[in-house]
Amino acid sequence: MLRALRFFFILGLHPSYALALLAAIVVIGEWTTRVTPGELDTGLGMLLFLQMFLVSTGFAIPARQGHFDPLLTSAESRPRVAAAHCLASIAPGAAGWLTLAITGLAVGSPAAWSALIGDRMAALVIVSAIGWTAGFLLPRGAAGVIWIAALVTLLLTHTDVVPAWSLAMERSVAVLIHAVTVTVCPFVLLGVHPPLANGSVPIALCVVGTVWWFALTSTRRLDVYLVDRA
Amino acid sequence: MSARLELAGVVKTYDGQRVLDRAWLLVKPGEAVGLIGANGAGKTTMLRIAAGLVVPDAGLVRTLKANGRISVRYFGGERTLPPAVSRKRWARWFGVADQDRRLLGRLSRGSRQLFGLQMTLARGDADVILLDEPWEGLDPNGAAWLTARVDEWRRRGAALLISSHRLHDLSSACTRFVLLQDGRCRDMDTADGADRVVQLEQVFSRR
Repeated sequence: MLRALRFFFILGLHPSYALALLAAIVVIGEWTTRVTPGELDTGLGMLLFLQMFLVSTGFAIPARQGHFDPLLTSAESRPRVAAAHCLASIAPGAAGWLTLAITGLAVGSPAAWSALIGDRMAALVIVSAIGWTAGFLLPRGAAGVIWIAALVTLLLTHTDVVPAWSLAMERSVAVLIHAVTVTVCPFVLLGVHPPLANGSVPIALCVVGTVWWFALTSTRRLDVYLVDRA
Repeated sequence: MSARLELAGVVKTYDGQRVLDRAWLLVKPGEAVGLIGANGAGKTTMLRIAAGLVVPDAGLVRTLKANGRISVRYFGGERTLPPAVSRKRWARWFGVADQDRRLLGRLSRGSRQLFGLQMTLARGDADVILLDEPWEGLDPNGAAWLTARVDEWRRRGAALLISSHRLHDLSSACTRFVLLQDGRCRDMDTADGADRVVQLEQVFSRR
């Protein structure tokens, strides 16, 4: 696993402009949090938005261009290689997130603990896992574009991501509806938002984790045939 | 001597077209097998199946060693090198020191091919070596270097499977030849020396 991680860090999964943008967001987020500790969510929100694109590094396409051949022909198992690819894809954004969360903790931001071990951290996990999984077969950044397009569509159609009527439903139904909401729009876990049914976040994490695990294990049957570079 | 690499009854179909049709192939330690065949015959598919990159629809692929883990090295040609990575970084993965910071995409095709081969055939242990069109783009010096390295690895007991259209180079590097035609492998009996190239050329002209 460490060997595979090393390979992906040598390869460099993220373009330098994306890392520069990440650094800029972390600097802005740090400054905002230091000036107004209650504004930690501003930096976290920007970072979560960027993470949607950062984690969508795409596995199958560079693999089929032969870029991963030295690793895939080594003794490392495919799911481990895919897990290492996922970790390497998540790492820069997660490092930025932790930097902001620790700064928030240092300046006494009320959202800091949630960003480390609570709902806000769940938002990062969901975005990272879905972004990587959805982008598995797609070109770099494509999953982020599709996801943002879906969210913009919801916004333009004035769709309530946490519909008021769901709060009046039976608890189990409300939990399911809110779990879907959290999965589709993890941004509801930042800032001030309508209350979510208890248990909806763990259920969303379980669903996302299952899909992610399925993507990892499916790599065993992935045909890494050779395609020419476009 | 038992085979180091064994493909038994391998079938692979792409888009309804059967590329490999119950193909069998054995490569023993210390043997360099030349894989020849027309364009589209399935040589690259066969090599990638042997490398464990492509999953066959049916059949078995076995890499065998009496004790310990088997080490497989595969090079699919310069196009498989990531263009945005520097020579220095890529060499680090193979444990080779290289101070050249130029990106692989900025090198000439021949330089990329030679660099990729140098990394694949770098020091260390390898039980099975799979090379796809390795002489493509190499100048005469590079071609001679590659032939010498293939011979060196063969003498060290590695099993090599090499596909190429460059019959002269292939004939000087390999000990046995297999023709891939209609999805199946056929062993070719060839004489030593210059006659061998003529024989290989005749096989192509008879197709």
